[in-house]
Amino acid sequence: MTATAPAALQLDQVYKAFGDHLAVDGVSVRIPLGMVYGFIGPNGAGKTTTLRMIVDIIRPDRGTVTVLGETDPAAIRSRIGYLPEERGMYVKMRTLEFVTYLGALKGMTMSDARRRGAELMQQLGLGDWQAATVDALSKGMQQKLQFIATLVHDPELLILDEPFSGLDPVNVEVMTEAILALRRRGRTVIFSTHMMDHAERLCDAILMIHRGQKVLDGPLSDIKAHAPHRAIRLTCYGEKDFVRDLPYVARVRAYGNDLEVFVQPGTPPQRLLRDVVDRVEVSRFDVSDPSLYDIFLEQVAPERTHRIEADGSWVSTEAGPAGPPGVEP
Amino acid sequence: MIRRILQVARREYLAYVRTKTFLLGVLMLPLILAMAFGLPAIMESMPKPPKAFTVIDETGRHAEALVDSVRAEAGVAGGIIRIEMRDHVYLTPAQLELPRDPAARDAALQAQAIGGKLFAWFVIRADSTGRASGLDFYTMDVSSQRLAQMVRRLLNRMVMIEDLSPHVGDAAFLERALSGVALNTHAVTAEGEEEATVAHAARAYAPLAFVYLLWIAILTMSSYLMTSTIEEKSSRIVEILLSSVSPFEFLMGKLVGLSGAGLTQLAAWGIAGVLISSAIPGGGATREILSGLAGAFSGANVFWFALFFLLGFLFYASFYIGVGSVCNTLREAQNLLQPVMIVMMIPLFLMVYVTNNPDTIFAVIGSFFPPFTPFLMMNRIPATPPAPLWQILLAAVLMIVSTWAAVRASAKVFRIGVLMYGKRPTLPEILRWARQRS
Repeated sequence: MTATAPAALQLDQVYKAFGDHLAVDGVSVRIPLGMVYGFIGPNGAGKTTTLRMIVDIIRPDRGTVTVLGETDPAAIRSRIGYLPEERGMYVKMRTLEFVTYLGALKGMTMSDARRRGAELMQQLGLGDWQAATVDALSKGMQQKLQFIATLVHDPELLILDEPFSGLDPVNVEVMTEAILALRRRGRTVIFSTHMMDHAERLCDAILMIHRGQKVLDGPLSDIKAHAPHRAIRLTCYGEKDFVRDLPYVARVRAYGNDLEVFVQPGTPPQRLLRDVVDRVEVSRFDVSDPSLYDIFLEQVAPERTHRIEADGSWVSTEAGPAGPPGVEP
Repeated sequence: MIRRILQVARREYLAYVRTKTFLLGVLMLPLILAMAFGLPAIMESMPKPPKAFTVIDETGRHAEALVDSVRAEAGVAGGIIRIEMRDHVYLTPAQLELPRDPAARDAALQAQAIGGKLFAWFVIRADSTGRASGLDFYTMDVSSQRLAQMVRRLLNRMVMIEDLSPHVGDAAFLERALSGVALNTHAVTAEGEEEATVAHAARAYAPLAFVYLLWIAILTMSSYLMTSTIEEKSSRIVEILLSSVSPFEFLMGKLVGLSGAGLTQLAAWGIAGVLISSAIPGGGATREILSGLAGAFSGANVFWFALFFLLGFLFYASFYIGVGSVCNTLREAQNLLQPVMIVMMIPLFLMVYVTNNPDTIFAVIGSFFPPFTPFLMMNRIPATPPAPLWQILLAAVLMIVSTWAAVRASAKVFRIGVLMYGKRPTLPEILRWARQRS
């Protein structure tokens, strides 16, 4: 594929190691302008390292990073906005002063930054807090303020590292709306998440990354269309081990009475339904599009069972030769 | 680039000048000056009751003449004898209404001293022939010996004249023989010699004060920078900032901002010095000391002081920021800083030696060693003899080069260290970062 259309971001064979640990292992991706693009993968997959290389906080050991057509990081700093996962602020600064400062660092004049910052604070419901110091704000308000500081200079490209982590439900909606509004205005948004459902709701396209390597990338619709397996979810009571042994079943994930059954391509789901209703009591049978989570697992470790912990780490059981994903090099 | 550096500098400057550290730093010198010179000046100007003393004379013939000699030597105005800036007054034993019995007399003197009426008394002891053989000095304040020394000297002279008179007929000769020679101290300056005053002593020791101030200022501001770097790192604000400015711009901004704050502090000290010295009444020793200090800190010296202050600050601050960027807590940083602190202490230990021996080979070579240069040069420039211009320029050039190298190395360490959390890197690792190409 030749890259003729302007790209918001292009990574070519990017590597980054920390000591013996290869954090990013030869990732290449091309992200067109005007998209909402998700980097997904478990914690420790290399998402943050990749994003940090895009904003030139760390430099790749090998490979090239081209952002908005530029390879010189200094040339694009003022055209991108970056919201890191760990968000710090000068707690003793006044809120508007903080936003103004970050805007000025991005090349705005002090007065423009102050005016635009005040507008955004007004829009996001922080209008009455412009004279307060940052530490007087609640956690939710601080999160909004950080987001404002990221886009006060109206960047062409926004890079958000786990933008939804730690947000309360109200702010998740605010963030979602803000991202969609930015896309409507033609901005490009790249965000990372380990929460597949956020990615499914928001993204035009995704990059899946696991243990520093690209698993797959492309528009969400293409990815789903080409998914090799569909998961059939059923809830049933009784002895269910026979399901695993049915000739057309590729794989089963069992969660107590809930089963996720992956059948061989070309197998009609009714065949499974017929086979199970005779032997166990079935209270639910549902054939859904494969979720990103399913697709991810299909790609990285089809033979193993995974579980997402509350902290976002993905744990593999049925121990194979390797440990949990993302831990080993 | 310059714009972003200035933006960072502006924020750092404003943040620092709003701290208590800065306020204390600005107030420190005026406070020290006010306390060192203001308080004595105020004390001097306050009326004090004269210290009363008396002389008990067992020989019965020396007391009057002795007190007259004291008056003649010290100078008298309205019966007040001025010695060591304190007023003394002589009371006769008769005025004190002392009893004749020696034991009762001593008890009465002690009672009057305790009661505050008397400050000291002398007893001229006589031997069996009636010759003065000893002098006892009783005082409430043993630290003040000037009066006693004067009385002893004058009494000795009277006793010698008395002893020698029968054998030497010529009284004028005797007078001359006992006069000896006088010592007069002269200070030699470019303008020719002049009489040595307190001002000259103050000028000679002014470099000590400057070195010390420089040291304190560099230490407090560098520590502040290190602390703020650790805070920015541990609060994770640094990641947002580094997506907007390069590590080098960020570091330079911090250094420029704090340098501005440091120069503001120097300016505040200068203004305070001028205000305080003009507020202190003319004449008197305080005034002379201040004019001595001002003499050492004038003309080209102001420029050199500011230059070496800046370079010294930038040099040490680079180390402090570098250390701050690789540490997660203040305690870790303090451990890592110990070698820097030891190097920083050496110029302080040397400053008295260098002030007294500014042109020894040791002082000259030491002042070309960059970690010592700002302090030793500050020491040597106002000293006598002053450092030659070529040495000042050479030291300045060496210092500029090594400061630049320190800032570059610090930026490299900063870039890697500031995003590394958890384990602190080892010293060899840090040195490897500092050397690598960017």
